[in-house]
Amino acid sequence: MSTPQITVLDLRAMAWLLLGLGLTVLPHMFHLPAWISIVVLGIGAWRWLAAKRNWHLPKSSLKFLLTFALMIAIFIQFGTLVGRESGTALLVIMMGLKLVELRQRRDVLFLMFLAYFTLVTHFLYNQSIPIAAYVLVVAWLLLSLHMHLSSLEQRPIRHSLRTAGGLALLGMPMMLALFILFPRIDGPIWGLPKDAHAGMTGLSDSMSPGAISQLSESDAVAFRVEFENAAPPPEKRYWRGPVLWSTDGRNWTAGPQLKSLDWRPPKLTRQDVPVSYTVTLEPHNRNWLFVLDLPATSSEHGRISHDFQLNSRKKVRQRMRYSMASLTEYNTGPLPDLERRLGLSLPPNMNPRTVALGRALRRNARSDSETVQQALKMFNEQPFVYSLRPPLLDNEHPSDQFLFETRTGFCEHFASSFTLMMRAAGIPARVVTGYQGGELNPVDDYYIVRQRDAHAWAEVWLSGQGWVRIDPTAAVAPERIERSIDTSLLDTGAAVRFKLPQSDLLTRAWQQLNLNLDAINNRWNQWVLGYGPKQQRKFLENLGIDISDWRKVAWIFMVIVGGLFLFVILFVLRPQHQSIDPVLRTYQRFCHKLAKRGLTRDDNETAGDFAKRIKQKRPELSQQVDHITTLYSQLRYANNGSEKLLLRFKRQVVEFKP
Amino acid sequence: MALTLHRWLDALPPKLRPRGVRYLGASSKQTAKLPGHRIYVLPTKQGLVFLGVLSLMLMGAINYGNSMAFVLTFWLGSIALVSLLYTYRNLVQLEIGVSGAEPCFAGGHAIFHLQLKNGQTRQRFDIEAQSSDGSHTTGSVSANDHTQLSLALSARQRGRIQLGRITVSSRFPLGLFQAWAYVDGEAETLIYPRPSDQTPLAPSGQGSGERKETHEEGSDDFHGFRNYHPGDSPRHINWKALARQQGLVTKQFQRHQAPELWFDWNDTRGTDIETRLSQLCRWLLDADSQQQVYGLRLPGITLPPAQGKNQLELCLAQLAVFGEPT
Repeated sequence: MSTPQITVLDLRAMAWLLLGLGLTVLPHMFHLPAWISIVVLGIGAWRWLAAKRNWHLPKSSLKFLLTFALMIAIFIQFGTLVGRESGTALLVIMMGLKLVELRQRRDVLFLMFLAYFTLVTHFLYNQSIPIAAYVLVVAWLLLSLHMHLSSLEQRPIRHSLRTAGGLALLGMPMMLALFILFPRIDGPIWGLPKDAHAGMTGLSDSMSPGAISQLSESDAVAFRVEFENAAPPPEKRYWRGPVLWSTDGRNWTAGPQLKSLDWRPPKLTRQDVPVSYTVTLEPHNRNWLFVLDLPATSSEHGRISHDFQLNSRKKVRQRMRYSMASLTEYNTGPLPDLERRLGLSLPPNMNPRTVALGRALRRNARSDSETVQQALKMFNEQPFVYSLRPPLLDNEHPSDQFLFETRTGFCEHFASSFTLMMRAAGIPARVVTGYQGGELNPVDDYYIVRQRDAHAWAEVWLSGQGWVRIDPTAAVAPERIERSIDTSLLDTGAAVRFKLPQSDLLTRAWQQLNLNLDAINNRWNQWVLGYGPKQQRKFLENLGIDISDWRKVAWIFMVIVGGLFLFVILFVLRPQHQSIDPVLRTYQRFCHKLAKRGLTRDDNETAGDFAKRIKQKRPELSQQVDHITTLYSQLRYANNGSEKLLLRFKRQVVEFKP
Repeated sequence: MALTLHRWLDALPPKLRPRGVRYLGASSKQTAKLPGHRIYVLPTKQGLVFLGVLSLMLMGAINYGNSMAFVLTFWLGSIALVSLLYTYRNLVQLEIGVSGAEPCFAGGHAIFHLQLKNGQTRQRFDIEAQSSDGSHTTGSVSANDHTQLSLALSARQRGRIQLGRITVSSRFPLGLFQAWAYVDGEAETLIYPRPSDQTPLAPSGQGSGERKETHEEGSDDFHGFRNYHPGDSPRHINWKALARQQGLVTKQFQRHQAPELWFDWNDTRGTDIETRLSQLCRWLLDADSQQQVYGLRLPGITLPPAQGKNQLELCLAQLAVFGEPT
């Protein structure tokens, strides 16, 4: 049996409900599979028509079938029901299905609670300022809707919007206090779904042709850096990431972990002063932390490996801030045997022409460093092209194909073939990936390093100098080192264009706006989104709160939050201003005097009737009562009451003694 | 200590409350102004569900270390707390009085009119009044205004019905909390017997009343002659008879009057008091609808014949309280 609709909602309320729920799921539509959006939109549209035309709601067996089918579909799509993606998909679908069986007020309210929960899931994907603002506004709308739908009497939605607005504002101070004081703990309490951190971009732990050029098309921020003093020039701003030792001729990987080799402090050359800086790293779901070449100090945030990588103990899944000091000129000292072996190993029977070229270069040079110079000269003088979209290397000897045929490549091609040549020449060499450069944001005086600044270079070991950074890309396209790639001018196969200082006023204004926005984002990231256990500890310590004594902290927490709540209580329950007009107040005083003598005016008794009644009971008061009543009627209803008349009225009432 | 104990007693629902402990009294003469300490607030079932949703959100926020999830959760939690204050504020200092009551027949509903008075400049919304038998009504009161709510109590038995204990409550604004207070409604009204549907008023009046004709001088139909009494209208003197030297004779007229009905306890049949009262009730109602003149005779009580709404109410009231010890 299909049941007819129970009208818990009139058409207008239904429209508001559908609008509120639509806005609630809207941001999910951009990343959920299209079919889910279509199904949910379809159900919403059907619900609207059903309400409008008073259609019957489907039978429960059909609903059960629909629910079951959609669950299966979600499982097929995601392979699970508990992940982040599948979880939100399930939530959105559940809201749609609940819409179908909207019969009682209880169902409507259940839907509201589902909607509140759906709101919070948006933050698993994005916590930027626009999304945060959007979600808070929709939360206010949902609260109004919640109020509107749970009211017993018909009131315009405008009324609920206003009342909910008041509630929302009054909730702000306590929310802030709770946000700051609620004890934060490190890391997940229990496991997160596997896809909880999906969609984070960044360098991977291996490098193959095309890996970095793909990153270079992204404007996403990798990290931001504040230098304590002057920033080093761009050609010295190499941000060290994974160091790759091992290759099969095409792909580079970190190779065997050399646990026995520990970090040794790099030797200072000349009177070089370490550069101090603080990095705010965007989460990239990997262990490594980017540092300026080379890290000079140890860090509490991670361990520095023998090849000068800074690795965090845990994967970076939240924005993270760390301070470091680095040397841009250094000498790493003697080469351990193990590193020499690794730095010279070549995949057998691969890239024979590259190997031959490397050996030839060494034969014709007097020293290792001359060999390096010769190789760079070759890149510089021969027609090599630096391109974001180089032709595919499908040969079984990719390096040979690049060096002798295509001669068009991105930084990974240059770094890879250069390293192979050096190894062939007997010079220990390795590939380093990371970022290079960074754009200054003068608004808050920090550097923005984006994914498009991802880079790969080489390091060779020269006796007397230790590991030396060599960037073959700089030999081909020196502009790359000076400036960022202009992603807006990307074109397939074309040579890379670089960002040039703009003279156009409009473009400069646009750039300025973007820099301002990034500065705001940076502060948002640091102060709001990055507010974790460490920041909380630091913040409370700055306030002079000793956080080692948890009882004290609990007290402070209760006193502050309780105090704020008390403040809200006093505000909400504050006595009301009596804004009634003086005429009415004076007349009430007159009534009060009579009431004390047992003559109470009924609520629905007119002033005239009341006067008549008093005159009957207390004839001796007739004259005074008449006078006062006449004055009152005149002042209140004739609308010609002067100040003088009011004064006389007041005096009469004061002098009136029944 | 005693005060605290008293407050705790106040919070008990009527069923658990010791006898004799009174709540605030509200009557037609005196309004009950709800003081803050007589108002109790607890989360509703919905409020508990909302709390559950918030806990889930908080666990998610902690697990993911997600700042904005903390913000949203704390915000909604704070809003829920503030809504508690709104709920409380919606009732505090509200004045409740009884502005009237309407009697009814057994099996019907006795209506009690409650007067809600708002002496503050804040509007009050969705105030619910519930009687002890479960009937309820809702209303809102504007600022500095009053509003009337009508509670319909089901009347099962003939006699008197007390308004009794009223629960005044509100779930405004979000329905997450309920604030309530108890008030003793000091008002009563009558429950008339249920009118019998088997013995309608016989048109002749036979068995259900007696017809009595009055022979009074009137001016309607000629009836006969009698000797002149001083004060008789000269227009009624039979001048022809005087001319015939028959002395002063006055013409007599009879006023054609509606028959007067008497409803007597003794005319009712049945062993049961209630059945007999039901019959009387039916006759009274029928007589009233036919605009008859009627009187009522019950053991020990006689109501002289009259007509109209007052008479009906008077008679019905006697039926309602019949058998009560005086």
